Order: sequence, then C-alpha cells, then structure tokens
Amino acid sequence: MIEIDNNPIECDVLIGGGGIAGLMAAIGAARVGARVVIAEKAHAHRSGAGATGNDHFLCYIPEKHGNDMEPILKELLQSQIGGFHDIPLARKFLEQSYDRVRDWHKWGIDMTPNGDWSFCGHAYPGRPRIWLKYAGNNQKKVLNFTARKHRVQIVNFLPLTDVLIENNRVVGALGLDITTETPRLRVIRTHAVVLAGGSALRLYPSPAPSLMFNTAWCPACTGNTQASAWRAGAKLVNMEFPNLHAGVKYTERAGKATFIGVITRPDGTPLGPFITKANRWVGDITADVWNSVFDDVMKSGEGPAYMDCTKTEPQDIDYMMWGFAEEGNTMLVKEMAREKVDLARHRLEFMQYQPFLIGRGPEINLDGETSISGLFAAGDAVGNFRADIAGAATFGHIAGESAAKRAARAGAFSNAADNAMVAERARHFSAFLERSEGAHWRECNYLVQQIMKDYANAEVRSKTLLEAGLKYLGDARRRAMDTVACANAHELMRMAEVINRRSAAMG
Amino acid sequence: MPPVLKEYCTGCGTCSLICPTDVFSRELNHKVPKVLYPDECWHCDSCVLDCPVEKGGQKAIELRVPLQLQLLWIDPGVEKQSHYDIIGDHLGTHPDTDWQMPPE
Repeated sequence: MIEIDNNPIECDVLIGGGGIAGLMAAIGAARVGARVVIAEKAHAHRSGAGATGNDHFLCYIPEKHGNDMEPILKELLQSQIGGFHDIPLARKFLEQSYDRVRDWHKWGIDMTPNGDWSFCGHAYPGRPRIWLKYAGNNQKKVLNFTARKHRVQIVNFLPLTDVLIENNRVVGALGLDITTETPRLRVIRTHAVVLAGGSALRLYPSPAPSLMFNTAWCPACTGNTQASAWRAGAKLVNMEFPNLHAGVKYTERAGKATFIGVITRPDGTPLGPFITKANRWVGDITADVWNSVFDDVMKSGEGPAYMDCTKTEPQDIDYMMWGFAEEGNTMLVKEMAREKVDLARHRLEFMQYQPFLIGRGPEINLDGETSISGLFAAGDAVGNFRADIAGAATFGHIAGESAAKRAARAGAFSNAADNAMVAERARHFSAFLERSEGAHWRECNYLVQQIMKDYANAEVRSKTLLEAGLKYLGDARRRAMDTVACANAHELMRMAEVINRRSAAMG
Repeated sequence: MPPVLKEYCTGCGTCSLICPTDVFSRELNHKVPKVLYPDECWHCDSCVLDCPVEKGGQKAIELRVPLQLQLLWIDPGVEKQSHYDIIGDHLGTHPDTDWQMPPE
C-alpha cells in the first residue's frame, strides 16, 4: 500500500496551488491573522499560468478612469473575458482591483513601467481602456517573498487530490507528496480550503499533436480545482461553454494582445473593420470580437490569417518585444531571434487553439466561497467570474480573507485522516503503483483528448454527442483504474492529473 | 529534448527544483540533473531564466525548441511575390527564402 504520512499538517486556511490566486489568497488570509499553508504541485517560485510573467492587469483606477465605474464595468462585460460574469462579483472585483494594483506596486512589481498608470491592449478604438500595462516578469518572485514575509508556509511538491468533507463542511484535504521517487499521501487538517489550481489544460489535443505539453496556459494546471470541488459536491457553472484562445500557429502561447499589429489576409488586407495600423495603445481587437477568425478563413479558403506588424512604428515594435519578455514569453522572443524572424518585416501566422477550461468551474459568492461551507475557489478555475491575472489577484485576496474569518469561528480540528476518501485514494493509487505492467498515464490522457475533441468540441455540441462522450469517458475511467501502472511519484502525479481532467470533462 | 544542459553546469539544482512540469531528476550533492521527461517541457523558459551560471553570455541551460513548433511566417503583403516557379525550383531572389531544393 502507498504510505500515508501519519503526521498531518494543521493550519487555519489551506490553499491549493501557489499561483497568482493562491499566493494572493494566502497573503489575504495571513493579513487577517490566519495560519496559512499553500500546497503546491511544483515549486511556487515558478508555477501556474503566471510563472514567468504577465503584462496586463484589468483594473479600475478612479484617478484615470473617472469616478463613474459603470463605463469600465460595461467594457469588462463586453471584453473577451466578460461572457459569464455574475455582475455583483464583477463590481466587487473592480472596486478592489486598484488596492491590489497598489499592493503589487508597493511590493516591487512595476505597475507603472510607462511612468504613470497606463492602459493598453484588448482595446476598442475610442472606448475606455481597462488593461493596465505592467512589467510582471518578477511577479512570482515578489509574491512568494511577500507570502513568506506574512509567515505563509509553502509546501512544494504536494498537489492536492481531494478535499475532505464531513457533514457538508470542509475538514481537510488530501495531498500527494511527490518530493521523492516514492510517493506518499499526506492529510492536511484545516478549517477552510481555497482551491486555486488554475484552468484545465491538456483536455483537448495540442495544435502540435505530438507535443501534449505545448499549451498556452500552464500544462500542469489540469482541472484539479474543478474536479475536487465537483467531487466534494460543490456546484459548478458554465462548464458546458467552450473557451477558445488564439495565437501563434503551432507554438501555443498566450498574449495575442501584446502583438501590436493588424490581423490580415495573405495579401495584407485587414480582416477586421477596426484599424489598418496598430500602435501601443490600440492593437487589433478583431480576434477578441471575432473569436473564430483564424479558423474561419482556413475553412473558407481565404486564409491563412497573419499578424501583421510590418506597418507598426519601430518604437512600438520595441515596446511589443519588451512586452513579450515582461509577460513571460521569452521563449518566443528567443525563438524568433534564433530563426531570424523579425516582426518588422515578417508576418506570423496565427491560429485558433483547441478549447480549455478557464472561467468555468465552481460558482462562488461575494466572499469567494463555493456552495460547500468552508470551501473557497479563486483564479482561473472560478465559473461565474473571470478577469485572468487581475481576477486571480483580487478575488484570491477576497477568498483568503473570507476563509481566514471562517477559520477564526471554527472549533477544534476534525481527525480528517479517517475520512473515507483517504482510504479510497490510497486504494486507487496503490493499485497503480503495485502493477508491474500496464497502461501508461499518457494513453489515458490521449484517450480523454480524443473523446473530448470528437464528442464535446467547440463547433458541434448536442445531447446525443455529449451523452455518448460521457458514456465513453465512464468506460475509460473503469479501464484506466483496472489497467494503469505507475512506476514512480512523477507518473502517479500525472495519472492523478488525468483522473482530475476526466472528472472536469465529465463535470 | 527541450532543455539542454551545458558542460559548465555546476549542478546547483535550481532548474530541477523550479520546473513547473517536473522534467528533471532532483539530484543530491551537486550532480548535474538529468532530463527525465523531455516531452513534458512547457518551453516556459523558467530553467533558463533562473539558471545562475553564465559563460560568455550563455546560460548553462538552454531550450531546444522541437521542429514541430517551427514558426510559420511570410513576407509583408506589399513584398508578396512568388519565390518559386511552378515546378518548385527556387529562384533565389530573396534572402529569406534563399535555399536549395534537395535533389530528387
């Protein structure tokens, strides 16, 4: 049997995931006096979608936007991330967003790289701009340092697999310790859990089919939050709506709005009606409002579509290249240099990627709490609110504060280790580890991707297709449980991801 | 094989510790980490960014981006012209497309 560490961790508030939402939740909770532990799958220094940076932070700054917040709210709701908001959440987010911007600036993330608060990217010509340009390459270093200063304990290499519930209340969580080759299970006793595991990647095939980890958001974010919240009985919302992102062809990367250029046909004419020349303040919003543009022109035969920065002024090209580095796209910058691709002269083809789950997941209230008492969620996994890194920072902080207040009212710890879920997981994981031969986790992951692409794709969704897909996922689950073999902690961690990804798919 | 370690790696272990997708072995006693799971690389560049060893402007680790991720680009619309005749021989008129067709 897999070893279960009989020395449980105890804390007031447990955070699942050390990304932007998790670190901000931890800081929020610690600021109101809670003893906080972050359980992180990898290492919090570089984990999650914000691992290497970001450069745009949605916020409302009254001294720039004026005292009326409503136009900014309207802009948020009409933006590409504005589709599934509960408006009171969006309002609360905007009200607190400036506080978090000032926190970050004070802690050492440069939120005014242009000398003052400045807004650009994802903007309609002639309308309010809502994305604050910032220099976030050091954001995780700064937030880790700040969390530690607030006495947050960060436990790396401990992905959470399940939340432990008794009488519809959180009593703890179960983690998979992958510090060494031999994995162990670890119980955490706590009064409140903030799930901040990010989006669900690797659910659909990569645009480079042989490279499963070629994803725009972090491929280690695999729907753990949605899956463990679902298994705990929390209400999930908007799961049925696919989210599609677009960007550089084959090399799946985020940050299309950092490109200062025009989306064009092969002959150089713009595909959208908005601009014919881009500058740092207003790029081409065509792909935000016509989400499927890249795919549509391939199907109509007019394609491919290109990002054309060749008319952009040289100083704005430099600004764009600086923006790539700040948002953590250094790989793309270096690859363009190696391949002598010069955006002032060359046009890069863009494409639409397969869906992933972001802004779909547990429904939260104004305190960041799910429908389960003591179970909170924040960041990309939340289902009824989305503002990417700014949402993770702001609602992460709110969820952390609320979780700390909840913990302060709680009594003694429950034992948690005797929860039925612990024994069940131990049985599953032991079976994987004890098999000397069997299916590889990759086989299961690819199977899930095949089923999702054919039965739950973004183009055609019907009752019969979804029901068939659900049936096949159920069969896949049974066969995986009976046949998968894992040689070590790493492989078991990957298999646990597949289980969660499949749960997220079924949810 | 995405991350490639140079011979002057000191085995400090930073890359193996911070990799978001756990592709390295975590070695003890300053041994050079092994790339155990190269096809699980996210190409996020964290290992390169955080590598503390540098020699001649070159970190002790670099990413090798797989061929499948080749950037697809063309010239601007105004310069658009055919660099190849219809049977596929190259015309050699443009520096960006100046390459030789392999012999049959």
